Amino acid sequence: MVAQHTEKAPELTVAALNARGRERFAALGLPSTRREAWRYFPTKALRGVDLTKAAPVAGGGVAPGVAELASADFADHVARIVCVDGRLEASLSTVDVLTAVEASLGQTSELIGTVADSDDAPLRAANEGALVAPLVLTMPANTVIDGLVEILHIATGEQVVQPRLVLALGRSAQLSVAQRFVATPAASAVTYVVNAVTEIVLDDNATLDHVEIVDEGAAAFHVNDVVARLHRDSTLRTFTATLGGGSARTAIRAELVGAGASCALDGLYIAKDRERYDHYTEMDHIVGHTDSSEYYAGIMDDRAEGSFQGLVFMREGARKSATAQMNRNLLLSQGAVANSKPQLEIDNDDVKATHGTTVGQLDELALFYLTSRGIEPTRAKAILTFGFARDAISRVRHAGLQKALTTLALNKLAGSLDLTGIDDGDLADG
Amino acid sequence: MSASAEEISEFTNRKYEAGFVTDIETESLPPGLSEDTVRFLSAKKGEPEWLLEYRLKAYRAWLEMDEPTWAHVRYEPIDYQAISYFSAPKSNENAPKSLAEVDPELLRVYEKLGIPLQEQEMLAGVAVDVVFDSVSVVTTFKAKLAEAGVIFSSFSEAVREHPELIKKYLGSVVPHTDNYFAALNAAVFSDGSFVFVPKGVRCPMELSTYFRINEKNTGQFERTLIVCEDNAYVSYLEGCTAPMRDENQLHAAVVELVALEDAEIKYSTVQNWYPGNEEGVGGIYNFVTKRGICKGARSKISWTQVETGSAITWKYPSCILQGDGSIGEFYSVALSNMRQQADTGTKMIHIGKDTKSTIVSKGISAGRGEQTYRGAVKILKSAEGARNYTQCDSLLIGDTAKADTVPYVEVHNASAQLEHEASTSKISDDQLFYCQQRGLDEENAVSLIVNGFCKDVFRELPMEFAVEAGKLLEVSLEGAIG
Repeated sequence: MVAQHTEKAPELTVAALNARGRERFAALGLPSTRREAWRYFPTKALRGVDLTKAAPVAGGGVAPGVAELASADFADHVARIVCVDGRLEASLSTVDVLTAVEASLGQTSELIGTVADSDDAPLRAANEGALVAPLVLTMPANTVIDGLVEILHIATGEQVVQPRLVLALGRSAQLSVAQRFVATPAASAVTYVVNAVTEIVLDDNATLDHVEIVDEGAAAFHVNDVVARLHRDSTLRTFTATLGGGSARTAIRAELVGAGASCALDGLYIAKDRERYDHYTEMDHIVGHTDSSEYYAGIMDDRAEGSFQGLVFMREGARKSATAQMNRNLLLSQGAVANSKPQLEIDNDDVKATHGTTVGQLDELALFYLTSRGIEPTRAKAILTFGFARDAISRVRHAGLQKALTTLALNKLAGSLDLTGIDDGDLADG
Repeated sequence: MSASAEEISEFTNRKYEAGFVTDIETESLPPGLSEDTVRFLSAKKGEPEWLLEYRLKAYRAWLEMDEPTWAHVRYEPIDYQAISYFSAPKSNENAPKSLAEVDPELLRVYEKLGIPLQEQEMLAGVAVDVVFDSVSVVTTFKAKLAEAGVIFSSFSEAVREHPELIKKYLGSVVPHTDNYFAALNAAVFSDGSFVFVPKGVRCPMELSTYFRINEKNTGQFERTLIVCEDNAYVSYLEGCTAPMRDENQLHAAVVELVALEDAEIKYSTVQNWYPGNEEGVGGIYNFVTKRGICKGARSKISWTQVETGSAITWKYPSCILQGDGSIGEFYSVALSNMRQQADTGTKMIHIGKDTKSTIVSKGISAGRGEQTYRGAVKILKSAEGARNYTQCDSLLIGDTAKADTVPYVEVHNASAQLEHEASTSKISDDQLFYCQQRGLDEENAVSLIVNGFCKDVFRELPMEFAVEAGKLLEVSLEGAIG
């Protein structure tokens, strides 16, 4: 038997974490764009916002619109955990499948604050300072949940929500999670802040599919800071779909600490109006024989700005490791902005590392081909743009999620392009 | 192009070839930097009032600035008060009129460097503006160039003879407030080269300057300004070596290029300054600001560099593509061996319509060398139809070598097309095996592969430089293989 990995934790109580987080956040202040990681994501909107507190518990039952959102189908889930303004709403959640495999859903774990170190991470510290009821999902060794577990975050109003999620998978456990952020109609019309932190630990040979869907209200300020630690032979596949929200950023840091660990970070962002979407990734190959890949696609219209920063470390011990990274951007209008910064730091000669970035328009030849077949140019453009998005979405493994994401992407693109009559069926595989 | 094994071992046994100190009396200023130093420097050179004012403005700006820390390089803090800001060969007043009058000691230096002036004049047809320490001592081929209307002179001479041109263009590409080292240079620049190619003239020969840092404890603050008027063309070559010594030497040069309508400037560098010994002791700090502006429509600036020397390299030759249809190019081979650190790359700023830029960067890291490619491609809103292609590859030799790639791509115009590709890897075992199986030993096989890796860049160098660069690479890689 191989011993379970224990993350060395100074076991801190929630109160102690709060004190530490508040102290660190007070010392660090809001991250400015002078910090390289925040270069493309100004946090000016947070000035004057009190980040030291969590949203208060709503009195008088469930807010309007919550029940509808909590019961609406999205992507064929087998379990749904509903969090309202950062707090677990047990009455709206269906978790029978979890209990069946003895997965535990709790509010405490010695892991909190150890994987996601708040030492030099301002907003992570703020989240720690305001921590009230973290959501901890633990899968025992050798357990498998067949199907999708959806964690639905619903924002109900003008407030600061600072959810913390811990996903801890035991040896050879398997889980597929979708973390979806939405707003009630009331919240859609106002400015609110989501400052989430997600901590992931995969024990030997564990496999996690993590899909984040950012579908926040139009004026929302959304940040999700994901930190994952991958032990021997474990696999992490993430997909970040940023499709709604005024300003949204997802940062993912993956630490490959066990040989044979494999990590794929993919994403799609579609931004319009003055939306500002930022994706920051750090792939840290600490030991040898680890693999990683990244594929992010961005479509920017109107005066939107989409950014990608991908930092890959190949440490001295990372021999025989490989990484490949790709960021592709499509600009649909004058005034739209794409920023891309793929970055490699290589300290070992026995590795393979590549990255690529493209910014441009649709392929002239493909457009010509379609128009030569009698398709109107605007229609041809719409088809190819949708194909560009669909290409990224096809990396999601769960069929139901693929379909749901395709619908969301179509809706988002509908304002920019004539997509009538196009649906997933037109482009289904085979 | 590849040199034979004997040649390589001969090179290696010679150790650092240019490692010697020439004993020529020089007139040096005691170490230290203040407004008085700036005034002394300016007075010594008999500069006009406006230039002194410019220097003082820069000095005051420099005092307000902080030394940059963002580069991936580490070095002991530089004591700017311990540097002597002026040194000139004493025989300045009776400057030689021909090579026969040149101090034989000087000529011997050039001989050791393998660049005898007589031979160069005959063989290469290259005009050499030799910078020995800070003051230009010999300028050749001046008459021929003058005939074509090309001005090629030392910077101080240009200040005296063409003040209107200097006044117009000095600091127009790299302002005195640009960065810490550029500000320092603007305050205390010693000398350098000035090239002016008038309208419609194609410079009849390749222009070349050999830099050489010689006086102990003397920072070199070269200033180069090249202006090409409409339809003009010039190709400029710069190559450097420095004597071996144990104290770090600061070199903070500024190079400014201005290309007007339909003009083309080709700027090539082979840099082989003393890199320090195996332990990283000694070696040159090369903190250089190089920038060109394509001011006119359809103008073109092309930077080619082979960087094998210096303990620390901090250098980003850049292009501002302002004129519609202008073109910027950057071809670079940078090698860091032993404990060398190189943080180098380029910036392409697209402002005009239909501007194009190409970046090809090859980094080679061996021993405990550290290598960073840092580049930025910015497409501004006005740059309709801009196009960029970037390729930066790194080759690692040995498991203690490091290579980083830090490219920034910022696009503010939807009609732009950009491609960026990068890869990092070691020399493939398959390639090595194939070469060895064909009878090459490992060292030769590696040098063959490395030369192939750099081919895209060497192709851009003028012929004689390309040969030199290939050999230089092999010599610099000595000891890193096997």
